[in-house]
Amino acid sequence: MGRERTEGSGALAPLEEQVIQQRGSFLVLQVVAAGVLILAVGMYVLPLVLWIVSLTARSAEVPDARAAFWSVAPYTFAVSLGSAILATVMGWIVAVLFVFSGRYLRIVILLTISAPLIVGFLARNFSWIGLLSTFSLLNWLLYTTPGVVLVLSTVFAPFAFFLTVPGMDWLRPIHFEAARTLGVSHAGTLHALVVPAAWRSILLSIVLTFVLAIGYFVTPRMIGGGRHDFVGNGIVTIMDYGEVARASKLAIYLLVTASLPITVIIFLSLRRRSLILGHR
Amino acid sequence: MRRPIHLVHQNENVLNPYLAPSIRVGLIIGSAIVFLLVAAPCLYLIVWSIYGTDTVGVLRPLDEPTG
Repeated sequence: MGRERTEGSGALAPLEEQVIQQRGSFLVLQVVAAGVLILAVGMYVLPLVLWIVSLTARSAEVPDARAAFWSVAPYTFAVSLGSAILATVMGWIVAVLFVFSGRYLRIVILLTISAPLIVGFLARNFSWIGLLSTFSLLNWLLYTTPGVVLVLSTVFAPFAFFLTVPGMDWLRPIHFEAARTLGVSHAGTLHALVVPAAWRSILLSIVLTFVLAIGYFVTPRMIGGGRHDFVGNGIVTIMDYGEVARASKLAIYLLVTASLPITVIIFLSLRRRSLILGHR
Repeated sequence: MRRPIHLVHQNENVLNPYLAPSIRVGLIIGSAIVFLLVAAPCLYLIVWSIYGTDTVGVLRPLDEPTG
């Protein structure tokens, strides 16, 4: 008995060391993450709060921007949501292919989906204008809302891909074997395993790409041809007249209006840490 | 109907066999469309830079008043 215990503790020692090492590296990670967080708060959140407070203090002097906001906000939200949903669908399709692929195909998919991220922002927009004007089949998309939605979706598709992959990456062959052994069809496994595994990351992807989209102003202006402006374009136009405070007011309306639904959805998605990974 | 596990392991190809062939084909076609859309501007830029077309002529000036 005593011999067994000695052997057991001898076997456990390296494991304990490993655990201690892991805890140590996790502590380093926490310290680095805390530093980055403090930097982000100090350089972004704090100036933003100070600016909002100072603007609120002299709110009466600043011309109202409510009418300007409501003239473009519904369009901004609708197009942003449409783009976010389309981008997530596009990203998710590629993510499913990625998760179910072998190692080499995964590398090809990663390279292909990441390629647009290294192309310059303006160059990509000009390229889209060239594409839409060159091919007569696509002409109808130029300077229209569907064109703006399409271009924004293709911009956000890589982000959606990288957001939805972790949601499904925990799926293992054993889950499919269990489902198939229990008599679930091929299509059934997709419905019973893949979709439930991914829906939280899909939700998160829609919200995060939506947040990105509502702040865009160059793409709507270029692809929309100046007839399909976002709130961002309104802010730039007011800034051009030198009314910085009024432009800030418009920006704050956008921040407040978008914050509430975004906070609720992110809270629902991240209620438990395991939910991020798609576990039930 | 229960299926024996060994049936699941058949057809080990590039894509793993846990999805039906029709779903795999759908995924490949869907992904190909996405890749085309995502890569189209990059490809167009390359062609544009080589052959130098005058498509810029159709560009609307960025400072045109909003309608």
